[in-house]
This record gives sequence, structure tokens and C-alpha cells, in this order.
Amino acid sequence: MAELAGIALSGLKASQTALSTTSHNIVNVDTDGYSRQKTGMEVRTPRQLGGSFVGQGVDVESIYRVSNQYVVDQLRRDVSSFNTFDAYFEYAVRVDQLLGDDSTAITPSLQNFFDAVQDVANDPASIPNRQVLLSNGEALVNRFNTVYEQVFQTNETLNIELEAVTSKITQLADSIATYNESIQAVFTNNTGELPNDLLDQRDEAVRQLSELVGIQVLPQDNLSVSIFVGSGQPLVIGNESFAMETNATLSGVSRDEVILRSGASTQNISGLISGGRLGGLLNVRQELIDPVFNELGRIALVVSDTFNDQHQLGMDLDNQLGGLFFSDINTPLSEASRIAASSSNVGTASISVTVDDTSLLSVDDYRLRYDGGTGNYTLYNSDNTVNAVFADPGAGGTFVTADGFTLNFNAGVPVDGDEFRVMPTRYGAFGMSMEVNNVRQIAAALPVVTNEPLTNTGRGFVDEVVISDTTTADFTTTPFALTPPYRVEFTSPTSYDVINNTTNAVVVPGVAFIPGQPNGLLQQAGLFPASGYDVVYSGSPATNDVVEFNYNNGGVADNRNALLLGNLSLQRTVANGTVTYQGAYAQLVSGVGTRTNDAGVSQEAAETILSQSQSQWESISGVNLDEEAANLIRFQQSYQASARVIQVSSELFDTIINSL
Amino acid sequence: MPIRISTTQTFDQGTNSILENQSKVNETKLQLSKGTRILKPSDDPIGSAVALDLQKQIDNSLQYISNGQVAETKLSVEETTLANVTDILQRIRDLSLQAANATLNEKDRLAINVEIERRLDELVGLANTQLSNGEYLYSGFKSNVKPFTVDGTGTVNYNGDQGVHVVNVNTSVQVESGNSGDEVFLDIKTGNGSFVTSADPANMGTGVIGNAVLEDPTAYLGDVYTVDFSLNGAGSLQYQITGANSGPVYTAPLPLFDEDAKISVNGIAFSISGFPDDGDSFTVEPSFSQDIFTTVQQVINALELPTDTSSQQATFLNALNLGIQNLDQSLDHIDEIRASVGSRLNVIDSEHSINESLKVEAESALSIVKDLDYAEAITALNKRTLALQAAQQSFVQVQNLSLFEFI
Repeated sequence: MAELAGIALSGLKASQTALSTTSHNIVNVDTDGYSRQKTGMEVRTPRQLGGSFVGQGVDVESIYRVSNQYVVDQLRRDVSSFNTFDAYFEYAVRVDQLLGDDSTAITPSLQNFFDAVQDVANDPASIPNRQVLLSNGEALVNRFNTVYEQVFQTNETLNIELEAVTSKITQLADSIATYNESIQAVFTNNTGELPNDLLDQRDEAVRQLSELVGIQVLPQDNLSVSIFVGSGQPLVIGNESFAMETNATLSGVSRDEVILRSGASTQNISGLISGGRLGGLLNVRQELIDPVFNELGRIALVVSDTFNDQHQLGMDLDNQLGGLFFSDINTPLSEASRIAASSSNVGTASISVTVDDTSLLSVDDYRLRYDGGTGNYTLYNSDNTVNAVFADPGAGGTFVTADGFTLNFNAGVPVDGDEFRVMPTRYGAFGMSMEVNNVRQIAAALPVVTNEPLTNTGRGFVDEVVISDTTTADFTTTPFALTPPYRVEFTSPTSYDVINNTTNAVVVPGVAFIPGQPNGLLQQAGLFPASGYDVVYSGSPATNDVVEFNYNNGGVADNRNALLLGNLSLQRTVANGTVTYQGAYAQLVSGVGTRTNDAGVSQEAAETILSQSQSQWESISGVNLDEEAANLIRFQQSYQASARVIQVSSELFDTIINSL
Repeated sequence: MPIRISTTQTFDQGTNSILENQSKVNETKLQLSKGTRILKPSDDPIGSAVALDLQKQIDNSLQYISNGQVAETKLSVEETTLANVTDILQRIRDLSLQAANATLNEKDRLAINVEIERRLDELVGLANTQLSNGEYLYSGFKSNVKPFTVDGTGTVNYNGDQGVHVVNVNTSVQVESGNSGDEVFLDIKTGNGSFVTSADPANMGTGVIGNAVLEDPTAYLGDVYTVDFSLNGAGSLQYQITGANSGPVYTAPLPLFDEDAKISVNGIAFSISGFPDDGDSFTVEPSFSQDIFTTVQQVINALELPTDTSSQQATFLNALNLGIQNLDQSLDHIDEIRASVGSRLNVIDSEHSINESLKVEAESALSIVKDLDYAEAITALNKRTLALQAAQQSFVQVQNLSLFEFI
């Protein structure tokens, strides 16, 4: 009887444990990363009675979690990949919307600006038309500044998020190390029983970590796990973890770098990280935000530069030679901003960057590195290929690159390993501003006019007046006049003299003229381009015909320069003369659109894959309340049955007692 | 063995499908409210770049049309003033012909002269036409400067320059939206356009020189030729022709004058009618440019000449002929300019319609790229709303199924 009661008791205990496990499952139905647990039962070693074995009841062998390591690993990888694309997509969409929206896009402002140039060309003397051009110029500048500011804000948000993500990574790495320690302790103290809930919690921490960054997990024999990031940089080893941080000064620009700290030594791992939110953030910055900064900057630089160049060849409403329309692209401030020294540099070299030819500019950022051994600087492209290698030109020296900019080595001495980030275009849209502030300063006219006296009898005519440079002595010696003032006199239908119109001295005699085709009168006389202007003459002049060149005083209705300015919007001035201003912007928009679209598609795909592996995990390890309800009934019934056995055993005992 | 589905999964799947359908419904709603299927460039990267380009084409066409309208306004004003100029010149010509009538006396001519002088003032006024914005139409680039002013001696001076305002009416089509005063009023060839013939006002005979023409281009030697009449030893009228640069044409004996024969010299042919006197001289020279005002003044001056004697009559006729010839040149010249203004207006018109159709084409292309197919979008909206409802209903139903309900 006692035996019977003992068996029943073991059944009660087992059922109780099973009920506890079921309850544990039920209450943890909503706990993240919780794997359902099962109670493993085992038959007690039977007692031999004669030739047969008498059962002794049941024992709880173990409480184990239902988990498949393969599925857990798969889930972690998919979480990592989904978060990469998710972060990428999140930032890409912001920039995408910014560039595409009519209220923030560059295109409408650019169009309005050049429409206003045309209106000035239609009526150059009209002050209202000039006022519109000035306002539209300001609107264009504002638009560039605003879009830059928006992208900059996005970049700042990204910096802040990098900091938050890395600090969360450090924290998770720390807790994984702590779990490792606890699990090891339980594992060594215990008799091989698994600490289910601790393992679940660590798995969850590892899963959370994989949301943030791509990791490699290496299980150790003692149940602890080691975690590596990037190309094998350790984040957790046993119960030791390392800190991941951001460094805002390493690159010299507002572009935080990710570093891994191990004691006092640090390592820049920005280029090594992949996967997880962190990987997505670094990718989107590299592939989308930097190029947008640079392409915007490049368009701003090309617009400013080409418009200024043409504007300076003109003459304004007060007969003054044209000045800058937009701010100079090469101010000391902007030249200095185009290069950033790494905070880890030891040397003192101070460098600045002058943009010489905006049409050659690329949208790359470059890396300049000094090698003390060879005494050479190496300029790397953004894809790390070598752009140029050159000997340190020393303080005061310069190096002219093939990409439209010059490095000025102003002062100081470099030390081996010093690095600089060269960004010729990054701040272009930020630095753009208006230089003209008075409508009368808009140079719609050209400074040279020609006069053919009525005594001319031939059929020659002026094709056009070409202005190439208004800083020559011809223009600058005496304001509002050409020095010397030339006059061309035809000595025959095929030759002419260039004569000083004031002194009547012959400057260049007997220059050949080819009737019926355009002749650069000063060029053929060897006076252009030094003169800075030329008069192209065609047709068939007669002997004694005269063409006089004068400064265009009072030429308020002259729109020749306004027409040339207007033409700029049709010319392919960007990227080695392959595309117009508007075209460059359209390429940027479509490039960003494509990347965003790709990221969106990848994000959706990754989400589908993630939800599949999530389902798989849930299917294996998730709690099903119906199942637990059934188990509850089942274990309740087995408990009741065991209790009944005790009752039976008690009744048996009573039967015997009573029969006595 | 059926696939296990965890309780979390049931919930997550339910809520996820609701959320997904909600976001789709929302996107379709946004497309409908904005009427475009490209809400951001990533919705259609190529389409959005194409849309930018098409929008640029539309804007450019609109700008070219507006440029054309500006030029059209100016050219219309020019056309109107030139029509008036033609009328005035025609009137002056009529008056001069009237004055040439020998029956008129000096007093009558004086009256005619008074009218011509008034017409000259009118002409100067027209040449100083201002546009609605106060700019002068005929002063070249110096549109703030009054182009024609009369000085104390009655001479009309030009203060403008030879600049011509050009306007873009299409990508590669430029139209001159005006003409300089120099071109319109100053640069007019005298005589018959090739040569000018004139008589010395001091001539005593009745010789009247006719038009000169280019007879033989190969023999032509451009120069100012003077025809001097003299008597030879026999008392016959002979003449010598002397080029200002090339010197005397004939060596003795000099040709004798024959009223009916034309005179040919170095490729130029002309005739002199009537009877010149000994010592009379005439000039034949290549045409040069003379302004319209000088021409009119020439007529006025001619009309002031006395006509009492026959030689005075000849001088008067010679002077008036020259004046009328120059007037005809001016009329022709103004007509030419008017024709060119007309053809420019035509160019503007045709470019206007080209730009209009370009604009319409670009707009329809843009509509294809960008605009929403409403029928499709509304169908999609209905479909997605339905899917959302289904997701919500199935969520509610599935959540009601729990074994715990029964124990």
C-alpha cells in the first residue's frame, strides 16, 4: 500500500511540475524571446520482484526549452539584414522626398531664375524685370541653402542615431557578457541542468544586438558565446565585453566615425561594419547622403562659377564692368572648408582647396594621406583607388589635380600617416550666396559696341562682339573707355589696318581679310586675346570702309550679355560638359529615387524573409495558449488520477484495517 | 502533424495584415488627393527624371512664347511708326512733284515748303518714338537717350548707336526685336542706290543730268567723277571727265557734247539733257549714305531756289531731281525695313505656334508619365479597402477562438 501511495505521490509531484511548467508558459506568452518549456518525465527504476519488475512511479527528468539553434541563428541573420535595409530605406525616403517635392526641389527655382534672365533680355532697361531677376536669384540661393540645410539635418540625425545605436550595442554587449557569466556559473555548479530562462534571455539579447549590427556568434564549450563584428573585431569574449563608440572629430567633418574601444586602444571600424541598423546607417550615408551633398554642391558651384564668369564679361546699367553675381566660389573660408584634417593627425600641415574648373569636378570625396617614408602624398578616390601620388610640395607649394581643384599647402609640416578628407563640393550649396544687391549692377549689356560710319560703301557687317576678359588693360586703364580705342580701316577689300582712333597712328598695318566669312578683326591682327575683346566681321567691305570700336556707354537697352547668360541654362556645363544644370539635378533625383526604390524593394524582401523565419521560430518555440489549455486539463486530470490512486490506496488500507 | 502556430503569431499576423492594408489604402488615397502617381522620385525614378525634363520643356516654351510677345509688341509699334513715316515721305514727294510744276510761282512754292518743313518736324517726332515704358524705339542700345535732336542750324543729329536688340523666340531662333535709328533713318543710299548725279549750282546753262547706271562692271572704277564743259577751238561744246583719284579720263581732243548720246566712262553711263554752258560742271559719284532728314532738307533747299532764268530753272530742276531721287530711296528703304519687320512678325507667329504645340505635346507626355489613372486608382482603393475589412474581420473572428472560453 505504501508502495501504491509512493507511486501516486510521484505522479502528483510530476503533474504538479508539469502544471507549473504549463503555467510558466501561459504567463510568458507575451515575453519577447521566451521559448516554451516542456517537462520531461521518466519512469522510475522499477523494483525487481521475483522474476518481474514492479513499477515505482514517475520522475521529472528535466524541464527543457523547445528551441532549434539553427532556426535561432537564421532568425538572427534575417533580423540583421532586415534592419540594414530598414534603416537605409528610412533615411533614403527622407532625402528622396526632399529632392522630389516641388516646394523643396532645385529645378523650379532654377527655371524661374533663368526665365527672369530671359525677361531681362527682353527689356534690359526695365527696373522691375531686373528686380525679379534679383529676387529669383535670391530664391535660388535660398533653395540651395535650404536643401543643403535639410540634408545636413538628416546627416545630423544620422550622427545622433549612430551615437545612440553604438551606445545600445555597448550596453547589450555588456549584458551578454553578464549572462555569459551567470550561465557559466550555473552550468559549472549544476549537474548539467540547463538554465532555460537565462539562455532565453541571452538569446534575446543577442537577437536585439543583431538588430543593431551584423554579428558573428561563436558558442563556447562552457555554454558562453563570443560575439564578433565587422571583419572579426571582438565585441564579447566570455564575460568580457568591449565598448563601441562614435567619434565626431576623427574625420574632421560632421560625419561621425564608429570606433571600437578595448582598454586604451581604439580602432576605427566604420569601413568594416556591415549589417544591422548600424550597417544600414553607414551605407546610406556613404551611398546616398554624401553623394547628395556633393551633387548639390557641384551644381551650386557650377551655376555660381559659370554665371559669374559670363556676368563679369558684361556691363551694368551704370556703364560699369560686370562684377560677381553670386559670391566668389573661392573665398579663403570656402577654400579652407573643403579639406578636413583628421583629429588623429600629428603633423601641422595646413592645406586649402581652390576650385579651378567647375566643369571637371566629380562628386567624390577624396582621402589625402601622407607617407613619411617616401615623402609623398597620396590622393585616394572615394572607392579607395589611387587618384594621384605626388611629393610633398612643402609650405607654399601647390598641387593641381586632374579633377578641377588645386591643393594649396599653406603652412606646416606633415607627419607620416596624417590623413585629410578632401571635399571639393560638399559645402557648395551651403556657401552659395548673392553678391549683386542692386538691380543696376546686373550686367545685361556687353561693354563694347561698334560703329560703321555712313560713309562706308561696302557690304561688310559686324557678326558679333566677343568679350573674353574684362580685366585686360584695354578695359581697366581708363574707366568707361577702351584703351587704346581701335578703328579698323579697309585698305582694300581683302586687307585692313588697325588704327588708334585717337592718335590715328597705325597699330597693325596690312592685316589680311577674307571676304564672305567671319573674321576676328583683332585676332587676325594679333591683338586678341590680349585685348580681352574681339569684333567678328563678315561680308564684303569696300576700300576705305571703317569700323570703330567703342566702350558701350549708355547702352541700357543692350541685352547681348543677358542672352549669353540665358544660354547658360542650355549649355552642358556640368561633369566634363556632359550635362546641363537641370540635367545634373534630374540625374541626382533619379539616382536617389532608384537607390530609394531599390532599398524599398530590398526592405520588403528582407521583411518577408524575416517574417518567415520568425514564423518558423514561433512555430517551434512560441507558446500556443490552446495547447497550454489542453495541457492544463491533461495535467489536471493526471493529478486528479494520482490523487485518486492515493484514495484507492487509503481505501485498500481501510479495508484491511476494518477486516481485522 | 499540423504546423504549430503560436498565439503571438496569430496576433502578429492579424495586426500585420491590418497595418499593411491600411498603409496601402493610405497611399492610394494620397495618390488620389494629389492626382499623381509619382508621390516621390523613388515611386518611379526614371519617370520622375523624365517629368523634370518635360516640365522644363513646358516652362521653356512658355518663356519663348512670352519673349515673342515682348518682341511682337515692339515690332508692332515700329511697324505703326514706319507706316506713318511712309505716309509722310509720300506726301513730301507729292508736294515736291507739285512744286516742280513750272506754272507755280515762288509764293506757291513757299506755301508748299512750309508744309514740308512741318512734315519734317513730324518725321523727327516719329523717329523719337517712345515705348510705353519710356524707352526710345530708335536709339539702338542707348534707349534712354533721345535719338534725334535738331541743333541750331537745323541739322538733325543722331545720338543713339547701331545696337540691335535681339530676343530668343526658340532654342536656336533669335529675332531682332527692333532696328536702330541709324539703320532706319540714317543709312539710306543716295541717288538711284548706285550712283548720285548732281549739277553745280553755279551752272549757267540748261543742262540737266539724268541717272547714272553701271553699264560694265568689269570696266568699273569707283571714283567721284566731275564732268566739266568747255568750248574747243572751233567753239564746239566739249567735256572732260576727271576722277577725284584717278585723274582726267580723256586726253585731247576731248569728246564733243551730244545731247542725245549717253556718256560712258569707266563702266558708268549717264546722260545730260539740255544745253550746258561753257564752265558748267556736273558730278557723278557712287552712292553714299544720307539720312532721311537731310534728304527732306535737300528738297526744302531746292524749293527755295529762284527759277527766274532758264539756267536757274535748270539748277532748280537738278537740285529737285536729286532730292526726289533721294526721297524715293528713302521710301524704298523704309519699305524694305517694313518688309523685314513683317517677316520677323511672321517668324514670331510661327515660333509661337511651334512652341504652343511643343508645350501641348510635352504636357500630354507629362500627363502620361505623371498623372494618375483615376479609374485604376479608385478600383485599387476599393480593392484595398475590402482587403482591409477582411483582415479586420478575420482578426476579430480568430481572436474569439480560444480553448479557455470553454473551460
